[in-house]
Amino acid sequence: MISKTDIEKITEAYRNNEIKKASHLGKIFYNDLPKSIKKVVEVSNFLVGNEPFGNIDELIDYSSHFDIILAKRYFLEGNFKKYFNTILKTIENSKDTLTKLYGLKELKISNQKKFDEIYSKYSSLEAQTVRSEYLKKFLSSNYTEAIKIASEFTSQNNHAEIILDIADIWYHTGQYYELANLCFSLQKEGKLSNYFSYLYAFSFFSSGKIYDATAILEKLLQIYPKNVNILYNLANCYIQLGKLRESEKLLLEAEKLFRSPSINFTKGVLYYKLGEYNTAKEEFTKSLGSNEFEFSSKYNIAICECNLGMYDSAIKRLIEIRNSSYVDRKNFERLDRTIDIVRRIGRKIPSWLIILIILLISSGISIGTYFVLSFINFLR
Amino acid sequence: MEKARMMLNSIISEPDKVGKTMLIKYYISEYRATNPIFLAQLFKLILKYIYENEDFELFEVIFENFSQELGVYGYESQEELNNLISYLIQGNYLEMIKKTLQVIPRTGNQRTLTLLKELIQNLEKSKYIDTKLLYDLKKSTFDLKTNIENAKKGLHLLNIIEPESTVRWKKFEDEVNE
Repeated sequence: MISKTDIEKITEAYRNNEIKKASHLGKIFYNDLPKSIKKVVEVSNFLVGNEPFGNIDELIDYSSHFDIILAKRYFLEGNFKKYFNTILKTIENSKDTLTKLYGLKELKISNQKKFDEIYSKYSSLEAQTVRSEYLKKFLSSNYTEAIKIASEFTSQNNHAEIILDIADIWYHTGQYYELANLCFSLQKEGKLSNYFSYLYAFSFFSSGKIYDATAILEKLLQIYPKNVNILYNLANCYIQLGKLRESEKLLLEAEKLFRSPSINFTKGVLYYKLGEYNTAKEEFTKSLGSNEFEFSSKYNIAICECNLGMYDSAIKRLIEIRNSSYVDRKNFERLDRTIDIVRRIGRKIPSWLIILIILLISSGISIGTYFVLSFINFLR
Repeated sequence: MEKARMMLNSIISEPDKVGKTMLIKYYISEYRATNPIFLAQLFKLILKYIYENEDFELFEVIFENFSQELGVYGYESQEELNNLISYLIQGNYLEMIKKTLQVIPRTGNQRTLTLLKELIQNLEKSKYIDTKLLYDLKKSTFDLKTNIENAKKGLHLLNIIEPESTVRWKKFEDEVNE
């Protein structure tokens, strides 16, 4: 039977940043623990990278910032609906300022549009603690101050939760170098959880270290096979590394989970590289719906058509985009030169035909000469 | 160019790396689809500013956080990149040269190739011991050489465009609307 002291030991371990200990103690008594302490144990599991001991769904009651941390599991699993639902409900339900600010921070790093929609309702929340203060600065996009306060705070209190906050701020502000360094030191200390591994892969990928990003993403994919971000970004790594068939498998999986023009565009790139120009053209056509790909997809369709021998259609398309949707001088010049090359290729006469024409002309000349000479001789 | 100059002034007025990064990120998202020429001009001015003003903080921001974007929008910055590399070689800033290597194959030109070859020769002569840097330098030089040769053949003109999206980490949660 669990005693009050055992419960205190778990909460104390968590408070003192002995996260592994909190998780370990929680495992021993898990079934007897009250719901609120189970939540602490599951948050500890998340922070140290352990699998949950119980059902997370049953623990989440949208009351504290722990619910938001637990929702990050849904994020890693690729269940974005459940992830956002938990964040939004917790922000709305909770009476606690820190929890609301924490939820808003999570929303801001994951979906700026959703954040912008609701932030005005909460912008007057008063910061009462140092943590609330840097969260508030972050929410109002004062990132410099947010990082400054959070960094000073970690020098007094390097609790895993605060480290997570800083990592999230770096993730949002794109400080890949700092984020990679932080993840590296966590790895050295044996504290690199799956969420931090995800951030590590992000920082490697974004700074062009594709081999390192690939190694981490491959491991993460084993654990989270339904996370579309992992599938898609790993597929892009494979394209960059020339592993095209491996990439194809992942993109097909990603497409089943999430519909997006980005996936179609990348599939277009992939099939083009595989020499399957018809399929590539189809995929580029599907990605036309997005503003982001309007120019590049149209251009790529023309290049596919050129490879398919459809020169007239390719030229027509290139002229159309040159005259309507070119976006800068470089593209204009490029389009002009491409049109010229396609025209030349399109007009190219096969070599056997050239030889035949030369033969016909030369024999024509010979016969003509023969007749002329014969005629002259005849006159004489 | 005036617009890019104004953007650069705003960037250098930001007091730290985070502020600079966020502002550049904003400009990229704003002009990526509508007017990327601003971005090409901006990167050109930034590189020039770095070596003229020895702004190492801005160097870190660009080469740590925007190396992929510089590869995409750096097509107007070849001379500035070469001047920057020359400056770094003269100052023997090898750690910083290391950070530029990723951008070089996509942005460099014949002069970059010459600069790198000279640097490799000098390092080998001086029996420089960082084999990782030497390897990276040689790889970058090889990739640049291949790209220059392909460009001469006009091969790139009949190739598809892979915009920035294929080198940018995708966050699909951003696209969830419900």
